Amino acid sequence: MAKPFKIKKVSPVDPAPRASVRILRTRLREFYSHWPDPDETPTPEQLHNQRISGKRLRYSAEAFRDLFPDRLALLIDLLKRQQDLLGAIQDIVTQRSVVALDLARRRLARARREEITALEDLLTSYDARHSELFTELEDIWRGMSRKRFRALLKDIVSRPVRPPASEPQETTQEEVVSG
Amino acid sequence: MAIPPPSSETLAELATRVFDQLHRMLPSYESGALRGDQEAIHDMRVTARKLRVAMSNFAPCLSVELRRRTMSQLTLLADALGRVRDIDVMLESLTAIEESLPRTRRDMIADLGARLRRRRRYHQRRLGLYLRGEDYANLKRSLSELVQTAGAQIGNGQTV
Repeated sequence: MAKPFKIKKVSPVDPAPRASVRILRTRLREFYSHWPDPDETPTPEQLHNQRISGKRLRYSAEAFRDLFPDRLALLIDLLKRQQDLLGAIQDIVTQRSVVALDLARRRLARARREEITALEDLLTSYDARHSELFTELEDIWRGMSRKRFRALLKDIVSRPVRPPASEPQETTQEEVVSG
Repeated sequence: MAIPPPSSETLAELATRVFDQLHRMLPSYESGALRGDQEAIHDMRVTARKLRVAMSNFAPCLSVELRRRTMSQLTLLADALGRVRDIDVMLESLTAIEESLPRTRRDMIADLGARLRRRRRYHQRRLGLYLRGEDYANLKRSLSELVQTAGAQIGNGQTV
């Protein structure tokens, strides 16, 4: 499993809104790093790593949601279908390997022909479902990899709530975005 | 979180708040996980993941030693939960597949389901041993320490 990107240039005494922008932008960059070219077929490891990074991004968004009213809920919604597909594909990969191992054991144990055939058919149905889901995932990822979509996500995570006008403002919105 | 944060909150204060919330959630799933309740095991696993993410995000607010120690303790919890959870997910999937098969094939898949349930019972026993054991107690102590110290660092393990 790929390690998370290190969060740079944040300190414990930073205002939370400014630090949260850095953290979320890092998590977003990390999420996109595993499958940089949507026209290239990713390896199973790349897909697994992207799924894990997607969860990091979502959990990070949940932790900071009070600083970004509604915006991070929108981010999570926009990522949801891709994440659901990744999850379904990963489940198939895991389950297929369990069935393949079980099939190997049943063959060694000289199980009945019908049982072997049923397990082989199960593997075939997993492969078909995997292919179907992967085609849908590729389409979605092409859309999500477009410049405009990425710019939208970056904008969402770059605009925390501005502190109330009556309180001293240590950072402006522009400073947070450029931070 | 129901109460909006103060607008002057620092990253360290936010970290303390997040760790405190997650640290309280974890024990709430214990009894369900010990009973083998699927939802409790799933929710506990998700909470363990959220803690790991929080530890990466708020790393500057934590001492290196505490962070490393807690991360490896969380990995033990996540692994113990994951072994049971992965089988639960597979059994759900198999049930859906079984319903679409002719009867003769269904019996064959049912045998696989029985083997998986045996495996689940084995991993559930191991999960129970873990949750009642010293490793889990150490994790809870480390999480309490996280909550107490997250606000006291100024980065690179130095204390204010």
